[in-house]
Amino acid sequence: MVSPHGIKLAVHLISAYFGDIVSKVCECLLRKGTLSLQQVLRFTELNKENATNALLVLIQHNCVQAFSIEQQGGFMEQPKMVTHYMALHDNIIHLMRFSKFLAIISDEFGQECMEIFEGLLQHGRLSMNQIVDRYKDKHKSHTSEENSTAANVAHENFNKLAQAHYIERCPAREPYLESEKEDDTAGKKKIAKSKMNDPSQTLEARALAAATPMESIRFLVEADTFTNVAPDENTKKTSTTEIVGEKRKKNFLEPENKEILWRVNFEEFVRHFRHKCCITHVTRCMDNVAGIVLSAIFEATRRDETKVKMEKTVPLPMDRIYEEAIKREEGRSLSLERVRDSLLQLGCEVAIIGIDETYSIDLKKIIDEAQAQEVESVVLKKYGREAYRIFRLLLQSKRLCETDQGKLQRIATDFPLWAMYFIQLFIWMATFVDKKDALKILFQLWNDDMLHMERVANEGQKLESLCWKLIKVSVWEQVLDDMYHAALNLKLRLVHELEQAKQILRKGKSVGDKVLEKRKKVGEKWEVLDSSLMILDDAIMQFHDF
Amino acid sequence: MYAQNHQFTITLDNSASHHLRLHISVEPKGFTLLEISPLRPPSSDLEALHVSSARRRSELHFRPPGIDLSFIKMSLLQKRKAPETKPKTGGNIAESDRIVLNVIKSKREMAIFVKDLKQEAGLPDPTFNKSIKNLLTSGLIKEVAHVQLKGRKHYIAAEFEPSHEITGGSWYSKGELDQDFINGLKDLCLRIIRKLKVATADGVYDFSVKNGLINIDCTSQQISEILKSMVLDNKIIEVKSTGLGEYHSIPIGNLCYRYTTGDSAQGLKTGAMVSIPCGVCPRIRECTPDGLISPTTCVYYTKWLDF
Repeated sequence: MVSPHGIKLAVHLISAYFGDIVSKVCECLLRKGTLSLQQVLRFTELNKENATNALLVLIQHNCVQAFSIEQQGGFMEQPKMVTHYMALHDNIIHLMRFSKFLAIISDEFGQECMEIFEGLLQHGRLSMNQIVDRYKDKHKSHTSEENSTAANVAHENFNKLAQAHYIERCPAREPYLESEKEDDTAGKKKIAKSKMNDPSQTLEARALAAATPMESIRFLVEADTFTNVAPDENTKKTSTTEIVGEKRKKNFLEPENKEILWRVNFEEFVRHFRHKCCITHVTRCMDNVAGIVLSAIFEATRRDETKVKMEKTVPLPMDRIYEEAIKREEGRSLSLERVRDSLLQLGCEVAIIGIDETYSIDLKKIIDEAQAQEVESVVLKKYGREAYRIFRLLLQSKRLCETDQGKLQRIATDFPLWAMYFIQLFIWMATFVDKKDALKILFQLWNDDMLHMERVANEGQKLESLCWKLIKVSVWEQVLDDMYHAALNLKLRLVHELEQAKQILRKGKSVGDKVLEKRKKVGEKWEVLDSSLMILDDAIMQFHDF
Repeated sequence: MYAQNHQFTITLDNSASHHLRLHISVEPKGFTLLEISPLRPPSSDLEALHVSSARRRSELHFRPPGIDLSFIKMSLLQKRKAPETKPKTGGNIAESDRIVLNVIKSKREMAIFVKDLKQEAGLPDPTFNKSIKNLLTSGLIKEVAHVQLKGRKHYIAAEFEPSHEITGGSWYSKGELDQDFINGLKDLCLRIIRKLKVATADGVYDFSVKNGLINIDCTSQQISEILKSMVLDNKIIEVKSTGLGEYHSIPIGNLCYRYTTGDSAQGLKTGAMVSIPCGVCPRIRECTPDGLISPTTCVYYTKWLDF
């Protein structure tokens, strides 16, 4: 479920990129959930042509995924296939990260790759031929020889991007999902179903799983490079052992005689940012060596990661870690012992398998710490040092409760009022905050939905005890929503500032010093707003995508 | 100047390398030397580490005839206890006073709230008030400040010391949190951990005692509480010893405290949200694109972008 300001930000981005009609359709899908075309028409009150075009634009830019599902007909009617559309909120938000994606490609592969990649960002989905033509147009030459060189360069760079998984084949246009009822009647066959038909998943998750190309062909360039046909028979033959659902999925993915479309693989960029976030955090909290070691592990296990939100790094032998660490210039002075120390500092427990000592780092813990630091910095600046201490205590005591759960539960059951009193007393004794001030801070935090409070009446003593609790999930959701809100505000202020400076920014033959000065100021404001948005976006990813 | 039978520690320092610690009992008739112990010279960078608390520390400079002891530093070994006034006992107190006194005594170190006392004593108001006044004057009871119920008069029998629930424990002084004392101890612990890099609570306590850095009444438990609070302040981090490297002197699995060595030692990370006006805006919930409070008309934004 997307938070209210998450939807507002997404609608603003779509409106800024594709105009009001498209944003109206997108908002409808984001607010109402998955809808059929008829439902979209009813809710948006647009005509069919406009709504269809808007949906096509959104599909082209990977912001909407279509899927068909069998729906029961009315009395004496046959079941019919209905196409549903679902908005992909994550992909919409990625629109504001395009400059970051381009910077990564430019750093890793240079200008030529960036040009190809830029085309995919601008057009959403392109075939190989379109990409090559686009590249050739940009580097126009008079001789056919030079033209063929340009095509080769384009192919080469395209291959590089696909090998690095920064681009991928587009998902199926409209995968077919079996209805729930059919699943039930399938009986014994149910066991053999693939994950994409897992009934415990939502319809949307099933549709996404069904649309995603198989890993074996997702980044496969050779087959479609020159021939523009679906992957060769060999690939199909080798996959006969694949599970049933995967085979059916493949048929949907590769319609005959159609060009294969490519798009940006956002997942790989999210993985890249996640790694960067972890490295930055450990470098900041520990030292450079910890950063180098973690970076080496990521590099060595990059292809072994099965999903973005990996809780732990893939276990790696000590020798391999060291080998990768000393490859880097900054890691050349490291000794084996120093790397081992750093791994222990990173919270690794020595796991010895056979003669190899293997290490795996808890990434979830690192991300959790980075998220907590972000929230704590808000508490510190907004409510002060003492509130910061209380907040951290409540956050940590939740963590501690996990290990001491049984004991605490026993206390709470046997002596509920004493337990409440203990919790209150605990706050001001452990944080060295005066009771009166502590209560004031607790109420302030509670008022801003940062804490949960329960009043427990003690009839015997005619007293009322207050029990305070930090419910991390809801606080984190609140913080993420505030971040979306802040990002929207930065975007709106940016538009406002540029609107205000329209007159000054208009090109004229001769402008005075005063206008030049004003232009400089507008430029500075734009820079501050834009860089703040990029930093804030990192934090949004930290809370949503990592 | 001082009440009878007080004990002091005197540090003799007549050169850079010779230190002696004398444990002396002060009596009206003179001094009694209880113990002499050699003291290692304080390490130069920690020499100045003496927790200052006007309430707890008492330094005396005196010059006995014929001996130049201008270098003597004397500090109280223990927090000076209030002079013990021996309560008058006997049969010459009124019956009403006795009833009130018995109720107060029955509560022992927990003290009693005046309203509850009145109810339990069952005396008419004028008699009750007179009894309280008499008992206070005769020194049989005393008034104590309750740390959690400020403004509510509590009485305790003179022979009892109020419990921790009443006083708030060792961190409280006269019902108020002793911030000077707490901050002084925090500063001291931080400097010790910075020097040791990794230490357990006991390690910090032992180091401070061994080097004579604490000249006040302070327990290992208090140091432990202070360290836990510093973890909440994010000044140090709590870790478990691995027994390797920096942790070699600490048994594996023992809880210890480490000074943050990374960039975070420079200060708390500035979050993305706090760098922009919306991150700390008190009106963020009322802010809408076209509302009274909006990003285009926001005064915080205008101030932020005014350069």
